[in-house]
This record gives sequence, C-alpha cells and structure tokens, in this order.
Amino acid sequence: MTAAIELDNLTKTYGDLIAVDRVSLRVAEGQVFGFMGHNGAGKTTTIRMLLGLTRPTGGSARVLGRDVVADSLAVRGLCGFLPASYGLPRDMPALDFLAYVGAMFGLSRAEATARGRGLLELFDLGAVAGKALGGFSTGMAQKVGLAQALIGRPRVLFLDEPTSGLDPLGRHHFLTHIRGLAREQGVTVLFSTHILGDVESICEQVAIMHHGRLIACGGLQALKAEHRAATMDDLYLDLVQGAA
Amino acid sequence: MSAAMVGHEVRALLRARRTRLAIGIVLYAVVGAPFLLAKPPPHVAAAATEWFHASDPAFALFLFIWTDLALNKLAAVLGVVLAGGIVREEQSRGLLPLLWAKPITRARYFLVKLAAAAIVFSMLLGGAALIGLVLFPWQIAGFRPVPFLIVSGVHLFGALFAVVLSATVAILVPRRLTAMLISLMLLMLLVGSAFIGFYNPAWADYAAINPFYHAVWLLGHIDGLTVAHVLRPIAILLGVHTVFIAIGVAAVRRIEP
Repeated sequence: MTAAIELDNLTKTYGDLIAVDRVSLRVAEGQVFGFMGHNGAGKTTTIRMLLGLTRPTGGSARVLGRDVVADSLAVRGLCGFLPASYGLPRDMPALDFLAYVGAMFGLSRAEATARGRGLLELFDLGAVAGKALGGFSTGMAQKVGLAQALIGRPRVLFLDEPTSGLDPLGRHHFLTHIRGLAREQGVTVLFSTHILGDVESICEQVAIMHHGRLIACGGLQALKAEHRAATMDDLYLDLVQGAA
Repeated sequence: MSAAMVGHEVRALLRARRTRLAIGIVLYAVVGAPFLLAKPPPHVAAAATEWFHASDPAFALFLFIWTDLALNKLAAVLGVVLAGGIVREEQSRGLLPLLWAKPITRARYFLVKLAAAAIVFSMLLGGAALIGLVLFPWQIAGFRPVPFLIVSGVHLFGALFAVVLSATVAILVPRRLTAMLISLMLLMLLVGSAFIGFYNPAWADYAAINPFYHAVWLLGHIDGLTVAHVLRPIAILLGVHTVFIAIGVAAVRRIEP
C-alpha cells in the first residue's frame, strides 16, 4: 500500500532537550493511525514538523511523497490540521471563519462559503452559521475546528488530541465521523491522543511515543498478542514501563 | 496576495470593537479642527504664516491645523490601534498553529494582515477627509477643496507609515503591549519632529525621511501645486514603506507559532 506519511529518523531538539529522537515510521493511505503517548512524549512536535510549523533538526519526512521541508506549501495544501489547543476569532461568525480558511486554500469566496455552509450543516451547526464564535460551547468550537480542518478537502488529516474536552456523546459522533472519512473518502488520519479507548475504537495501526522515542509501531491486535495484553491499557502500560 | 483573504480581514477589522473606537476618534478630530482654527495658539499662527508664505494665510493655517494637529496625531494612534497587534494577537489566542498549517507563507499572511489594516486605516482617514469636504466649506472661510484633497491624500501616504511601523514592530517585539507602546513612542517622536526642516532649513533634506513631514512640506507650495510636488513625497514615502515592510516580512519568517 502507498505510504501517506513517511518519517525517516526525524529528530527535533531544543538546545539539550531532545523532543523527537530519530523517529521512523510509515502510515499507509486511507488508515486511521493511532499516534499515542503521554503529554510531552513528542507527538505534537512530530505533527508540527510534518506541517512545516517547526523545522526538523535531523532526518526527513514525506507526506504523500512530498518532502515536508522542501515542499512544505504543497504538503500543507494536501493536509488538514486540528491542533490540541487553539483559539478561534471571537468576533467572527462561524461561516466567515470557514470561508476565510477556505481562502487560504485558494478557494473563491463563493466556493469557500458553500463548502463552509455544507460542513456546518454536516456538524449540525447550520443554524448558528452566522453567530460569532465567541458564543460557542467547547463541543461546538471543536466541531468548527474539525470543519476548518476539512475545508480544503484534505487527503491527510492530522488530529492532535481532538476528543479532549468533548462529552461522551460528542466524542462518539466525532469518532464516527473520523472513521467515515477514512472508509468512505480514503482520507488518511493521524490521530494523536492519550485517550486509549479512542484508539481502540477506530485505529487498526498504532505508534507509541515515549520521551521523544518511538517505542512501538504496528497493528493493534498484533501488538496486543505480542505483549499478551488483553486491553489497550495493558498494552500501553507494558510498553511504557518496559521503555522506562 | 489573496484578495479574498484581504476582504475577510477587512471585514473582521471593521467588526472589531477597537475600530468602532477609532471611528469615534476620527469624528472627534473632524469636528474639533474648526474649533482649533477659531482660536489657534499664537505661536502656531505666527509659525504657519512665516513658514508657508501663502496668499491666504488663514487657509494655510487651517490646512496646517488639519494635517498636523488633527490628522498626524490621529494617524499615530490609529496605526497602533489597527496594526499594533498584527500576528501577535493570533499568537496569543493560539490561532497561529491552526492558520499557519494552511498553504500560505508566513510572509503572505503578514502582508494580508498589513494590507487589511492599511485599507481600514485609509477608509478612516479618507472618510475623515470626505466628511471634512462636506463640513468645512460651511465652517472655513476661503475653503478650497482641491488643495485640501491633495494635502489630505499626500498626508494619507505618509500616515500609512503608522500602520507599517506598528505592524513591523509587532513582529519584532514579542510582547504585544510593549510593541504597541514602542510604536506609539516612535510615531509621536516622528510627529513631534516633523517640522525640523522648517525650524532649520539646513535639515530639510534629512527631514524628508520623516513620513509626517511631507504633507506639511506641501503647504509651503500651496499656491502653486504641481504634479511634481505631489509625486516627490509619494515616491519617497513608498520607498520608506517598502524598507519597513521588508523588515517585517524577514522577521515574521522567524516566528514560531
């Protein structure tokens, strides 16, 4: 299967701190790939390097065959990104914000507005499309966050802790939608989280980061069998304690 | 640069509370200018007569009050209000990683924000001139609309420096409030030293690098304005703006979102 994301000894250091330590992995197209690790494990830094938000110190990475440093703009044109924490412009109506993000992808105003309206309706926010984002709840804001990540019709979607702060029902809808994106539209999803239940419910392949290093990568069931783990929690604890 | 993005930024800026405050300041300046003319400070009236040698000293004095006492101070404040938080505002809200992960260069993003601030600034100052064009013929004896518009237009080119400088300082200085204070101080210094070439003609050439000097310099030629009188300051001002924009573009590339 063609690789959507390839990391080859990708490294990021900040002075003496090694945030990401020679990470190599491969994510096949059309997968929902679980990218796990505790806070500070290096997941966010890895995603930021893939999206050109920070430069790697060493190694290389490619998204859909394009180098993330040399061809960063093209990579970003093919990707959607929902950061772990972000603010939205409080004074701006939801639809205007999506149209603005659409303009960043070079969409005309009419096209960006049409896509934005479609996404807001998909996420049951059609009725509040003209309302300022400052009045949105956490769940509504997260839906707008996902909508902005999808407005460029990405082939690769980077989701960084996307379900944190969502109630159980919101989380269920969110995960169902992510699964649908991969299955029905062939979108590759790099799903970064430390909520192990989320990974178990939608990912077949996973990678686990610990203190900047990749300590496991492969099929979820195969890893469980290899480590004789009954649950995702057992697998994660076994791997992390083994790496400590 | 994306026209659609600039349009979105302009609409967002027009909706912002600080822009409503700016509109209030503009109206205050327009309404206040004739009152200043009714009883100008004696040293200002004497200096304007001595410097400009105009056939109608009262009209020259009015234009001086309009450009310096009203528009220059207004421009300094508006520039900081509209552009003093460029990029840093989005950074403090945590919006930059989301926006800079899109297919747009940081330089282009900065230029879009700067262009939007410059457009809104021009709308405000241009609006002030247009309101003045309606009101002043009733309030100012001997009001001449053409010189008024020319001086206001050249002043706008100079005043845009307030936007350019504020935006560039916002990129160079990470703390937003500190950056805004630095910009305001620098702009007030420039506004205050705009007449150095009049006080001492030997320094007139050096004063030309001060963007706030040119509209007032034009008043010295108010009775015989030519195209060259208008193009000279505009060419200088475009050069100054370009240098500062280039500094901002170079600096924005180094910001970590």
